[in-house]
Amino acid sequence: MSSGIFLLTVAPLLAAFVAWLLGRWARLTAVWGITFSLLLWYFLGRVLLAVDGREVVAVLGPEVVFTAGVQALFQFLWLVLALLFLFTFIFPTGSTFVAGCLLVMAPLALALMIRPYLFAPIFLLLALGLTAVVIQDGQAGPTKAATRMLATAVVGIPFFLLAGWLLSAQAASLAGATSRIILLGSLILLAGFPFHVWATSVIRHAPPPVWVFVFGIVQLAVTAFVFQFLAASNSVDDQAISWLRLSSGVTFLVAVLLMATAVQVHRLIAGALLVDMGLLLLTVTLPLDVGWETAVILLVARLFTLLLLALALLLLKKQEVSQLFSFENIPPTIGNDQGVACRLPFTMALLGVGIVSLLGVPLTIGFGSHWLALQMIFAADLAGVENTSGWLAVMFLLAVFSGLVAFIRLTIYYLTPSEKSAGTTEREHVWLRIGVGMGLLLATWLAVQPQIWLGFASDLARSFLSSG
Amino acid sequence: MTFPTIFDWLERFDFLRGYPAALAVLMSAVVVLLAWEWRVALFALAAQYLFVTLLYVDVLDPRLTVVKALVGWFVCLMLAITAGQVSWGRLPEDVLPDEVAQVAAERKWRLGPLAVPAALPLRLAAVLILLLVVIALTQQPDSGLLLLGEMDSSFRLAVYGLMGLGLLGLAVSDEPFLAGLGLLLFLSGFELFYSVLEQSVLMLAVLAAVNLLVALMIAYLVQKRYAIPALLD
Repeated sequence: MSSGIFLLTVAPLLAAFVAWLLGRWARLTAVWGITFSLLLWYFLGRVLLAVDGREVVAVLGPEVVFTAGVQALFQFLWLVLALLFLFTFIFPTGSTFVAGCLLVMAPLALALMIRPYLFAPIFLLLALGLTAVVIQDGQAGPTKAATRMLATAVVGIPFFLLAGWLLSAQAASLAGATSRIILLGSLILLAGFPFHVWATSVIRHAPPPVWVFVFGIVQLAVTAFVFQFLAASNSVDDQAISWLRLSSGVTFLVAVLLMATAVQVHRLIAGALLVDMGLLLLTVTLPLDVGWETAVILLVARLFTLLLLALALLLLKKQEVSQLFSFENIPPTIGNDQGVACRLPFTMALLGVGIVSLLGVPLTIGFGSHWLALQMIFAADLAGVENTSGWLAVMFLLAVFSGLVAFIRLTIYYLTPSEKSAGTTEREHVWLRIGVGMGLLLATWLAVQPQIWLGFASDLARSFLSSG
Repeated sequence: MTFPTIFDWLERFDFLRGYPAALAVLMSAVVVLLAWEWRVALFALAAQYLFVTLLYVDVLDPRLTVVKALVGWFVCLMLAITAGQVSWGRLPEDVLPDEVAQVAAERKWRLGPLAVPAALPLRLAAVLILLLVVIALTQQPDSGLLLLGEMDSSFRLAVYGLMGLGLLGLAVSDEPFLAGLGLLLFLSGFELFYSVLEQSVLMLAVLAAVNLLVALMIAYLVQKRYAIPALLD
């Protein structure tokens, strides 16, 4: 078996088994996860491909194809996973989180590598099913979110099974139908309205590291899967594109309603995430190369933003403000939270930066990706593909505005000192302030110098699609 | 005495093939959706797998259709064991109602000896509307799914019915066991349709594995949902 394929398929399974054995010791498991992820990232980078840029292994008929694009994509994903496991070292999560994440990576890689496309959806379904286990995270609370995620995956994957069969049959007369089926499947898997419900449930019930994994790492792989199928179908169905655009617009509307009625920070984050997901769905309607590059840029920005949010919320939980940011089904008691921003200014600033970045406000990382996405959508309309960009932009801006209003409302509340909560929480440690301050500076620098990470994201996108 | 072969059994059930099997599939799927007692729902699911096997016979080798039935019954067995471990969705015997007073019990109406969930009439209405839609779709052979228009109307009825009822089951219930049964109905319908397109043994094996894995996921989520910490949460 080739080294690249072994590293992406077999090694994570073995690592997941070890992590499961170590499950009783949360920090040890996290150390194992970090070590393995970094080792995999390193050795994956050292894999030398053949002259044609690919390694092929036949397994019971189908072939597993390892390309330079897959190599680059998964190097990035494993590096992010290492960073995520570092969070779980500092802030221990459930007993199955590390093992579950490692286990998901193997079928995720197989879904992108296996040929013919007939079998790829099966592995993606396996990966998404195991993601439901990660969402559950060994805890009683997030069952609803996990069930919805599993249901969405099982409903969405058959579309790709059908498309895979059509691609394998190479029926040229059915090319339009293939494209339509793929686009409808992508609507479900990328959580467009009305299939967005599981996303808001995950934000409400699952802890923040799970958000990073599900909406960052897994979503990037799922988006790559969708674009791979679109590239293979080599056709465009205008009707399905219209439906996707309509769904995106309604997703923005749902986000507006969610954020307009947000009295808890989870609801605001869920709404902001829906805005980002609506934009991601729109990238599927763009011409292939442009759409994929834009999608990668959006997802890289989202990953960084979710990491910021996860860090902020975990810091808050560690500083025993868990009544405010309750990840279990315990309703937060708002009365104790008023004025928390006065006591924990740096932590709350980190949270604030994360939220506005997810909304795509100027001078944040998210702004660059959202602005680029909107530009591409307008450019596609000018090229004559669609003429809906006007109302989509209006819905998007309305959603961002609604998010900003909710953010300001919550900020005022958290900045208003309260006698009841005075002295209930210790002030931030000086080292925490230094660390968070440096993080905020880094985030600001990346926001004003977007070409640094935009170039990386573009290169990642180009190498994946060009390698086939 | 010789044990009956697969072909002998198929001959015995020959009177059920075609429309009777499709109607039986629909009826069992409706029972799965409406039954509030988990045992009844599971038994109906097992019956659904039996009747859908009779439809598979028209598109697959009979020896392969038996695999479908066996996988389905194995799924039911897994879920039955899981359901038994969580007291069929009821409180464990050693947990008193007072201890879980904060858990809102499902509203029920008394109909003689039966305690019927208050949501049952709404579910029944939704199921009836869906069945009307399914029947209307079945009458139009060139609407919707690829190549299905060329199939017998009984086949189309079963496919649309299973997928529609499965989606309805997912929509009306968040509870992992009942939502999981809806998921399995949807998968069953899709597999029936997909068997028209792809009849390879490898794909059959893969889809069987998918069914078992989905059942495993459902069992896991049910176990977590009905764990004591969740009940007392």
